[in-house]
Amino acid sequence: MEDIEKQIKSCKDLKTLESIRISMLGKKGYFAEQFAKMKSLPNNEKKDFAQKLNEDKEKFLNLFNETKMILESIAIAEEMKENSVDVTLFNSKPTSGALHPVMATMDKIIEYFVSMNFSIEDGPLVEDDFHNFEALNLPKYHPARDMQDTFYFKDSMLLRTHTSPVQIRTMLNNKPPIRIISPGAVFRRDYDLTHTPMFHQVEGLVVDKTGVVSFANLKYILEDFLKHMFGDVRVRFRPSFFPFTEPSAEVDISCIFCKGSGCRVCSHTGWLEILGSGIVDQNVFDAVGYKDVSGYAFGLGIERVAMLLHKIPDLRSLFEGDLRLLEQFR
Amino acid sequence: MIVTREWLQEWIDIRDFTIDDIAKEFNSIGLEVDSINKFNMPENVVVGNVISCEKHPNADKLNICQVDIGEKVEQIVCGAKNVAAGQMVAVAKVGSVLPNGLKIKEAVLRDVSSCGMICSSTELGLPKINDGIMILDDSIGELEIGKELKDYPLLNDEVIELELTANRGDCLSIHGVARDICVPLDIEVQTLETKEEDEATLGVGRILNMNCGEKIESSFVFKALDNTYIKSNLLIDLRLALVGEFDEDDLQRLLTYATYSTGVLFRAYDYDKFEQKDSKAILSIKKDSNHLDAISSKKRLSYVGVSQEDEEKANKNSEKIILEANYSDPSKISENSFKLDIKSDRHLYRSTRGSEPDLDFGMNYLINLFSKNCNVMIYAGTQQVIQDFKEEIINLHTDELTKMIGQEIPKNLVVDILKKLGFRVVFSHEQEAMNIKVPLFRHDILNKQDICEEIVRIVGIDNIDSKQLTFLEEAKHNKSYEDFKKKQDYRCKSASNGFFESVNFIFDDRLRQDKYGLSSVEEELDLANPITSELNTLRTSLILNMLDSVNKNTKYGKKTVPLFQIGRVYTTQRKEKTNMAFVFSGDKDYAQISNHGKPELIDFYYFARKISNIIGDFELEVQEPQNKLSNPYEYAIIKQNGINIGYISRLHIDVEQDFDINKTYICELDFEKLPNERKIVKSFSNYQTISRDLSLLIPNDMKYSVIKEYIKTVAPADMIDFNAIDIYRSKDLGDKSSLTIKFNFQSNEKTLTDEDVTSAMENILKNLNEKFGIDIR
Repeated sequence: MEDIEKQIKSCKDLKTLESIRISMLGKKGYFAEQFAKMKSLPNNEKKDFAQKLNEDKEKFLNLFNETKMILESIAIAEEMKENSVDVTLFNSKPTSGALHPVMATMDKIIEYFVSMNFSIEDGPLVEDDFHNFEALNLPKYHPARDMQDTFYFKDSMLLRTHTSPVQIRTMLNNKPPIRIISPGAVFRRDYDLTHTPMFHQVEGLVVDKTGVVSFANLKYILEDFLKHMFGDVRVRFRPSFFPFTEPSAEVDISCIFCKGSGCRVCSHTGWLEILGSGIVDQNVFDAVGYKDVSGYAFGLGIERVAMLLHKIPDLRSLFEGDLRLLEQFR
Repeated sequence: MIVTREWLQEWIDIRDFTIDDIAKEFNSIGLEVDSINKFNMPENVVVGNVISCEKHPNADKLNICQVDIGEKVEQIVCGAKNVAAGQMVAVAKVGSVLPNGLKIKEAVLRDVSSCGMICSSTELGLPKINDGIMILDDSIGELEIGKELKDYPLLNDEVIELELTANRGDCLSIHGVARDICVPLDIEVQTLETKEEDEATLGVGRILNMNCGEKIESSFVFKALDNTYIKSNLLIDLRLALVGEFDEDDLQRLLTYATYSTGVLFRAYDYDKFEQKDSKAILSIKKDSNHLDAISSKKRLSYVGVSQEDEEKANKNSEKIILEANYSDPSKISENSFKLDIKSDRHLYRSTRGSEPDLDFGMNYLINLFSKNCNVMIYAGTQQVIQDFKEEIINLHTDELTKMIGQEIPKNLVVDILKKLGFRVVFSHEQEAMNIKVPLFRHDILNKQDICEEIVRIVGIDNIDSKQLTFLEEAKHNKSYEDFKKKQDYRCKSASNGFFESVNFIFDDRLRQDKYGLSSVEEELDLANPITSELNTLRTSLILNMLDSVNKNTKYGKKTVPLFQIGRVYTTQRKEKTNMAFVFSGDKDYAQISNHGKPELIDFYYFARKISNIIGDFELEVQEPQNKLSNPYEYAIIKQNGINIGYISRLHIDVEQDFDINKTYICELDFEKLPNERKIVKSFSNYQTISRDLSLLIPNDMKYSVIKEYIKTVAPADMIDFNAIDIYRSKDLGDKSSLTIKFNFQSNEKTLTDEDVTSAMENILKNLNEKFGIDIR
């Protein structure tokens, strides 16, 4: 028996262990042999012999099971080791697709204004002169029309030059109060390094009874919005001119690259021009038949925001499905 | 609009302000500063006097000049054509360094020594005024031989470029800008001194006879002069060159300079070209059939604010000159000239934005210029037609102002600002209301909001406190919001399935649309002024532009190009609709460990799987392609719930070759037909699923869809689904293919037994055999 114990303890693999088990517990094994011996023993010795034998068997089984467990876990460990993988071979570069940075920026802008209880309004890209110009206080011979080189169709319709016609459509179809944004593509007949014939804008319009909406309210929402988009920036308002707002202001943020100390991106001014805004001109309200109301409006170019946020160097690459750019947004 | 510190200084005293102070005020009152520059004359460049000038013996084009530079006389070899003895010139002494980096050294030019250089304006960093050297005169200050040019402030000026908005015609002159900036700087604009006319001078009536028709809408002031010589000066030339309005003719330069300084529009006519009677030029003003005020004599000489005939224009050599200052209502000029599309000159830009209406002021300025710089005899008095342009009157309650701005601005501040800006204000304390008379030069001010804007820009928007707007809650949920969320949902799914979002122009090439059998917007509804021929129509499909993107990416060496886009496309009737398209070109995966670095090319089943992962389950129906983009042997209509929503196909190999791209699959869907419904969960069984595969021998030309549709009709209740999982063809099978279908069984009531499933399978096989004569492999 002690010999067996030694054998088990020195056993290195499950196969040997199994052969030991068979040699001990098999039909012709050690214990079967020993129990067979019992028949020939005197009765008074039988009890002690049997007891001793059972103790031995239990001892053996304990030792066997214990060893088997150890050997099994060694075997699993070895199996795992054999199948080991060089995890460092993994190329962790994602292979998913990605959203377009301009569209993703648009999403971010929309989500801000939706959370501020603005609704989204959409409009056609092919517009007429009334919605794109006339109603926005841009009569045919207005010098400010020079600012917007327009694509015309042969039937005198046009591609909208800004998202502002949606203001007019919304006001014609709804009664005040109004609180909307309208994102989308706009078109100008201009194509060079810094201009593409199509780009995207978001327009905002808030209208309520006279005296409810003021310039101070416009300042509040734009300051908050620009902080949402650009983080901790300073915001500056400069008086300006747009035919459809009065008073009008252009809004600058302190340069997000140099923090206002002056760099190439901000032409060493420390400021980045980011959006146009103002109090809706009375002529616009007259054009849609609104009486006794006041409101503010604002608009910004999404490409410019996206390019600033992500430091995208080339405007035109945004319209070419360029994977060298898009793959970086995974 | 370009202004300079010294030029402004002629009207306002800004010596106490730095250029940055001034720029900051410009920005804050809405005259946006585009750039600030300074001219700096280099050291050791001095005033010199050319004592003599002789031809170089060994070089035709060179002159040998003796130039007095104060401390001594230097010999300088000069190549300029216009150099001559007696001139005062800018001399760069030996040792000076010019702005372009040129170092002046002693030199020997064709055996003649030269000590220094006589400079042109551009060599000193100044604007170009001629092709030769710059000849100095005392317009830049008293000339002292040997004095450094850097000590002449007028040559070392600071330049601010303003970007004016279209409404501020009043700031298109130095005087106009001064009038605006003086308000925030709190200084006064100087008035113009006018010279008393000598009573003995001949009156303008001696040589001019003016007839004025009815219905004239413009104002005119005429004067006349006899010309001995007319000459501009260096300062005027440099300034006009700086602002890009330099003219060849000295007379034109003086007129342009007077306009740029005062904002008043001027024209000059040659007396000799007029019809004459009793030695008087006959001049008539009439509104002609184009609704524009025209000046005529023998024939039309000019349209006010629009154009002038070259032939009758006076120049510096004209003996007698008629001068005209004019003003018209900018909105009328805009309207009439727009309608007519008349060839116009520089006046139109100013006249449509509003030129200066104070004609006497402008004419006085111009006459002063002539008196100072020229030898002319100016006839006394003027002939004029002055319209009674009505000044706008606006009533404004202080309360209205407070509501617009959102903050109360003190009354006296409001009145003060308006008065300084040239408005006349009567304040009624009882009614808290102002009666505001708008000066004629501010034709852009028409209503209360315009007044509000004036207050806001002078007070400074940054000095207005931001305020939250309280807003009554109202429904903001609408279709546009749902569309936005739906698009966002599909875009995100596409990106997570490996596609990149592409944004392309909505333009396309009409010829190309036709070539690939795509529809085009009807000719008479198409673009009238496209930007290029490749972008000469609206797109009717998203695919072509995306194939351009595939081509570009392939050229950059991208092996796998998966793109998607949701965008507007147009019908032949130019109706807008929204499509969603997918393009997948090249390898189906990136080379990596899991594919042993050899990814396979994209195939139909892989591509269609991606699409179904994004848009959900669909049916494919084999049809003839509707366009020439698709490979007819790998083409299908995509249907959801029996509705045709688009197509999926491989690109025709011809097209792959046209675009020089690898194997490519395309799919274009009508986005509005894609589902946007919430998912409804079916009850699910707690019992085990049992699967069985069935391999059938079918004829090669038999479509699986036929078998599929039939199985659906004979499927037992417990069969939950079935899918083709393999198709196998080989020579051994002849004209048959081996099709393997996996069937899944599951009951809601019990665990199915092998016998249940086996008998169901036998039943299916029996039916297939009876229907199609096909059997198990």
